[in-house]
Amino acid sequence: MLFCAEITDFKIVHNVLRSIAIKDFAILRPMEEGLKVTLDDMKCVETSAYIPCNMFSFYRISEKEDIVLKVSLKTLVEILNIFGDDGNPNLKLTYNSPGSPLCLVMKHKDENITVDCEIRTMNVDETRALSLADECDLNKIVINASILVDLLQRLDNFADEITLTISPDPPYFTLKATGIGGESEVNISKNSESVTVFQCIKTLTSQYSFNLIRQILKVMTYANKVAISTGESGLLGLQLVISSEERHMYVEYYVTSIFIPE
Amino acid sequence: MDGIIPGANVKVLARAINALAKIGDDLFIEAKKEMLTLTTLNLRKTICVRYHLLNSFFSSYEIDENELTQQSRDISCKIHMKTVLPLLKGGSSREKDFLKLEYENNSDVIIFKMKFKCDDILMKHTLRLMDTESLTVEIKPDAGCNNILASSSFFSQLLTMFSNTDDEITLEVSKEKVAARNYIVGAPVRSKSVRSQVNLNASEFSIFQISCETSINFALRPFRTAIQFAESFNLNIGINFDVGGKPLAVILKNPTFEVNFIIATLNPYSDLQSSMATTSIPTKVSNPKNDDPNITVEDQEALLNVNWSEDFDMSEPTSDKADERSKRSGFQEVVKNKNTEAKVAGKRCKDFSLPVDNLPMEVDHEDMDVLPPSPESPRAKKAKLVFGRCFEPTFSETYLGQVLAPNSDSE
Repeated sequence: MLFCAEITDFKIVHNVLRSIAIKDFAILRPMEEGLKVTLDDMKCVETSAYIPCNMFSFYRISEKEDIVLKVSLKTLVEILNIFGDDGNPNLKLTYNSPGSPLCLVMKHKDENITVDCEIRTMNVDETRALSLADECDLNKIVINASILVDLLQRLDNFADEITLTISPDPPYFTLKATGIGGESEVNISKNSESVTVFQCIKTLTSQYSFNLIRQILKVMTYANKVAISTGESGLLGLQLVISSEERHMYVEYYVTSIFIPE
Repeated sequence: MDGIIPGANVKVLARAINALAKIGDDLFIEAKKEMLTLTTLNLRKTICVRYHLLNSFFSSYEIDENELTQQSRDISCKIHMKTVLPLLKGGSSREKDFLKLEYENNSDVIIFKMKFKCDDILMKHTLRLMDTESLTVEIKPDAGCNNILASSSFFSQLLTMFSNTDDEITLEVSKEKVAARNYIVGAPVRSKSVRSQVNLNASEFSIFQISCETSINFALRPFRTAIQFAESFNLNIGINFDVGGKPLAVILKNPTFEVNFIIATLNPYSDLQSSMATTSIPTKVSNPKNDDPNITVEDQEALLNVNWSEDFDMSEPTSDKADERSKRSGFQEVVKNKNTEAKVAGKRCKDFSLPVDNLPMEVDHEDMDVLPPSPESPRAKKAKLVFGRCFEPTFSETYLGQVLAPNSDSE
C-alpha cells in the first residue's frame, strides 16, 4: 500500500480541480505534506493544486519511495461529483503499487450508497529538476483575489495580451491589456488596502498571452488572496490561497512570458 | 469633448448601453453643446434608439466651441458595441466614483476613465473607433397626433400578458379604449401559439389623447427593452404615434436624460402585402470627409456607375423610396470611406436586401423530353467577364509572338 487517504467535505477540492482541468491528464504526487495535482500545458503553463494533509481525515503514505502517477483528471473530477450537490460523501483513495489503478470509494452517508471506482494510472517519464518557485524571486506582491479578478475581467475586452509592470517607483503595479478593440490600463498603488505585501527589487515589465491568464480566472474566484511573483526570465507565478472553513488549499500557476524581440 | 459622469449616473449609462446593445451593433456618439447623444440603429433600420444625456447628467461637461462651428453642429464618432459593452457590463459589483469620457475631434480613439470607490483604483480604457460618420435621424419623436402615457409598472404588467416568443404587438386604438393583441385579426392562425388580447380603457392611462383612431403593429422586442429600462429607473413611458405605417416613438423623460425608441410600424389591415423591410426609418449616414486619397477620381466614377443590380436579383415589386435612399447612401459610404477594417467592409454588404420570392420555373408540358436549361445565373455572366481570359484559346499570337508548340488540347 503506497498511499491511502480519506477525506470528507471535499466540495471545495472538487470545485478547484474542476476549474483547473483544462487538460486531460494530470500528475498526482502524494507527498508527506499533502497531495499535489499538476497539469502541464505545452511546457509554457504549469498548474498545480496542493491539498495539504491536514485537509484529509486520514493520510498515510509509504516513506520508501517517491510516488508519482498520471491519471485522467476529467474522470477524477467527475467521480468527485458523482453524488452531485447533495449529501456529504466520504471519499477514500488508495494506491497499492506502481502501475496499479487508483481506487476511489465514495460513501454517501445518509442513503447508504457506496460507489467503487478504479482509475487506470500511467507512468510518468520526465522528472523536472528545476523548481519554478525559485525562479520567481525578483518581485512579489500579495493582493486580494476578488479585486484582481474584477480588474482582470474588466480588462478582458477581447484582449490578446496583458502587460504586467512591477516597479519600486509609482505607479507601483500596472496591468495593461491590448487587443483589437483598444487598450485598457489599471494601476494599483502599493499603499492600497488590498495589497498586503509588496516586495520589489527592480522594475520589471513582461507580457503574457491573455488566453493563459483567462484560464486561471476561474479558480481565482474561489481564492482569498493571490501572490504574484515574477522572475528575471519573465516567468510569472501566481499562488492562490483558497480557504474553506479554516482549511486551506493552494493553487500555483506558472506562465512563461511572450518573447519580445529587441 | 470631456464629460464626467458621477457615480450614481454611471449605473444609468451602463443600463443605457446594455439596452442599446440589444438593438444594434454600432453606437454613434454625438456631442452637442447642451447634451451628449448615444444612438444606435438596428440592421434593417427599422428601430432607432436615442439616449440624450443632458448637461445636468454630467458633473462636468466641456465641449470645445470652435469644433462645433463646422458643417455639423456636433462632434461625433462611431464605435462597435462589442468594444464598449464589456466595460459597463455586469452588476454594479464595484461602486464607481465617476466615469470620465474624453474625445478629441477627429481622433481615432475615445478614452473612458473609471475610478472605483474602494482603493482609489483608476482604470483607463482607450477604445478604437470605427470610421467617423455622422448620423441624422429625420424623424421627430413627437410628430404623431396620438399620445398615451402611463407608468412603467403598468406597461410591464401589460407585457406579462404576452409570452416571450411573441414578436409583434398590434394596438387597435380608438378614442376611449385600446386593444392590444399579439396577432392580427383575420390573418391565418399559427398553431401552437396562444393568441392574447388585452382590453384597456382610457382611464387606466395617465394621458390618453387620440386624435386619429388606427390599428398599429410594431415589433415587441424594442418595446420590451424600453419598458425594462424604464422600470429599472421608475420612469413614465410615453408613446407617441400617428397611424399604422408611420413610426412610433416610445419616450422616456427624466430631468437629466431623455430616451427615444423610434420603431417602424405597419397598419396590419391595409398593408398586408408589404413587409417590415419596406417601412424603414429614414436616416442618413454620411461621412464628413469628401476626399479619399486612396481611390482615384476615375475609380470613384467607375464605382458610382457600376450597376450593382446585375449581381443581385432585386426583383421586389414594392420598393419604398426610403429603402432606395438608404441603399444609395450605403453605396456612397463604399466610395467615400477609407478602407480600413475588414469588419466595416463586411457590414457594408448588409445594406442589400435579398430577394423574397424566387421566380418560378415554367415547365413545358408538351416537350417533356426537352428540358429547358437552367437560366444562366447573373454571377456566371460576371464571372465570364472577369475570367474572360480563361475562356479564350490557350494561346494568342499577338501577345507573345512566335508559336513554340501548337495547341495540344482538343476543344
